[in-house]
Amino acid sequence: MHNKPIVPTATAEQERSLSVPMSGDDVLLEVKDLSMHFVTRKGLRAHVVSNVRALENVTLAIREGEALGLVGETGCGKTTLGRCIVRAYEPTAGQILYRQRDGAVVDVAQLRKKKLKPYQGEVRLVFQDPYSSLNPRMTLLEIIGEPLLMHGMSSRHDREDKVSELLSKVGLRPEFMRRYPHAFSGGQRQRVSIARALALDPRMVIADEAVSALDVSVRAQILNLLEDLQAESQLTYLMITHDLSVVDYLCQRVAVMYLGRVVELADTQQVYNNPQHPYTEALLSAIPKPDPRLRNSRPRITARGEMPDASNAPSGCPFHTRCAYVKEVCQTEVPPLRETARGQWAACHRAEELALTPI
Amino acid sequence: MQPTRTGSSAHMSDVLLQVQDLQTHFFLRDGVVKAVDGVDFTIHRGQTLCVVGESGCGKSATAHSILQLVDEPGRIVGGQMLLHRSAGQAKGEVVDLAALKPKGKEMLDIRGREIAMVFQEPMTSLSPVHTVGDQVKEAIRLHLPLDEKDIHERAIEMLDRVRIPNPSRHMSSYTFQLSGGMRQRVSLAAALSCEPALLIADEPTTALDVTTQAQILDLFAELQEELNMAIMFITHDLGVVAAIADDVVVMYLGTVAERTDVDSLFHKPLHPYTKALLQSVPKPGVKTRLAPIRGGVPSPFERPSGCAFHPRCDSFLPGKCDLIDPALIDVGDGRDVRCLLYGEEASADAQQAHRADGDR
Repeated sequence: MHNKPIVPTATAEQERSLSVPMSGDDVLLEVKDLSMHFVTRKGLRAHVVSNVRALENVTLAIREGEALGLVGETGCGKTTLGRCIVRAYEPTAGQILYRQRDGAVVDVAQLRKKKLKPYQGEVRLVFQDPYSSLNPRMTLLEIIGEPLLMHGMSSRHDREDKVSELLSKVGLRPEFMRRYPHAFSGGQRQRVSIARALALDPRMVIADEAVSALDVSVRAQILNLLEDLQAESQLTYLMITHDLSVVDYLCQRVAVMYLGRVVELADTQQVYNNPQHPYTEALLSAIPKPDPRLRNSRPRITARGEMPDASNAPSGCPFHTRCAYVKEVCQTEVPPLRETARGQWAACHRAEELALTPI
Repeated sequence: MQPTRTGSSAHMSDVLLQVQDLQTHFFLRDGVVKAVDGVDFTIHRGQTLCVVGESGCGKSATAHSILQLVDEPGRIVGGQMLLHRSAGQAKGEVVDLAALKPKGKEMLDIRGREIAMVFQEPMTSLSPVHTVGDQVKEAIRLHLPLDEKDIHERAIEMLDRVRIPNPSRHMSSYTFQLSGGMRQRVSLAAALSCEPALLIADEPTTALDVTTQAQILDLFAELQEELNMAIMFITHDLGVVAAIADDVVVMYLGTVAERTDVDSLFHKPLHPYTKALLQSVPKPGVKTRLAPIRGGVPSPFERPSGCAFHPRCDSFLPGKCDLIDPALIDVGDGRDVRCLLYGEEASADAQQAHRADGDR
């Protein structure tokens, strides 16, 4: 049994850097109609036994200097999107347009592995679990210095200088660079992961549930650090999280994903005050409110049941099996992502007629 | 606003479990870790007590102590845990759980029957090689004198109670075939199969999505009403506390920092640690910068002198907090707090400092 994504065959023409139009001058990275299918084949004839459609025609743009939140339940494809963007996965179809420092736009999805290096230095990932994402046999100097070495900083002395600068930037003492990860707490380890991500002066950081595994007080420290770093170095963030209060705190815009599709995309305040998609409403309603006096103040709108299997998605609107406002049209036609209110995009047939409950 | 039932308003007859000066220490090669160091609280029948605090403050060690599940090299070295029994012949008896043998007959009788527990990660508490039905049936078989057919029926009824769709079919499912929320429902079904008087839930929703968490919390509330069961809910999520708690115990480094009803916790917090915890949570719609607590929880081998919280405290009084270890004092309304800012011993300048702190 092998589990292998379908690799697109790129022609020589497509590989050259091309001047593709992006949807705005301030856009740093734009994902267009991106799909990622994980096909499992079995047997001598390699017939397809399952096709998990982790991403289905995802389109979204990330503006330079903004923090975009990407939210949704486990299995909605948010991590897959992050990994496709850094080309850890080979997307099945679609484009990943990236504006380079010189202003030229390249389609990262078509670049050859060899040519990816500069891009992968500019777009970095931070992972959720600071215990499994740091190699226990490497010192902090080796962990943070590794990307520097890979990108050509061969002098050990230079690397030490840079690592000590990075450690102080994330609020750790430079003397720590000779120690191993086991000597540090969860919050400190996450600072190390952030320092490693910042080593190559990236333009964009994709934080995949970077604060989810942390205690409340430590989480607040890391959120403040991320906010400071953004202000300092004009960083662009893609915050992948299931915690909507983190998005509310840090992100200017938010994209809500469900079963591999973006179902709502707008400014965070707009989404929270005027949700256009029933799934967003259910997500907002599920956040526990930090005040016991709000208990029972209004009925909770919960999404019925659980998210369907991504290899066997429902027909029509993927959310219709759990939606409280389902109609016949929802069961047959896939709603496109469209502007349903000013500056607010939602994929719902009934967006205009529904008055959904804000947070 | 929902009326909150406070400890003071509940009658003594409602008392289910009294934990008094509980001490659980771990004897390691590098020294003694006082994971639980003098904890007092009371759980009332049919009510929810939330235990909150950062990682490493002794929340889980307290829960494990109640069930006599403390692993070597840990040991309960002091204190009492008085359980007012309700089931079977022992009804009305008061038994000190701390004095029972962990593997004795009486403890085996209580564990799972009168006090049950669900854990954070259902996959580690459920067996991957037994079916869902086997695991629920085992819990029933251990404690209830029923024949195999009745056990089977009761197991199906339990799965139905925790809202598992098509329960008779799921009896033969394996846990790895289920989603995280479904697994947590299975472990809840096994825990509740003997209708315990107390359910201890150790971060049961932390590993779940918000939507699933909301469903599981609703389920807890419904089952609590149906079974009139007390819940001791361990969490670090203050949003969850606000949603379900009647009473709250805030723990710090193995001691109780504050004990209060849930409304006062959020609207009149007393202990500086409680205030600091509340300030480190982002509030919906409020964009003020978070104020995290300075530093981290100290190493258990380097417990600070005096009040354990003083190195991180905003209301630190030099010459007092670093020398005097405050006692847990009763401040009225069924609330207790362990801080030098409160109580009669608090000197005039301490109160002045506190007022200035309040004005800020």
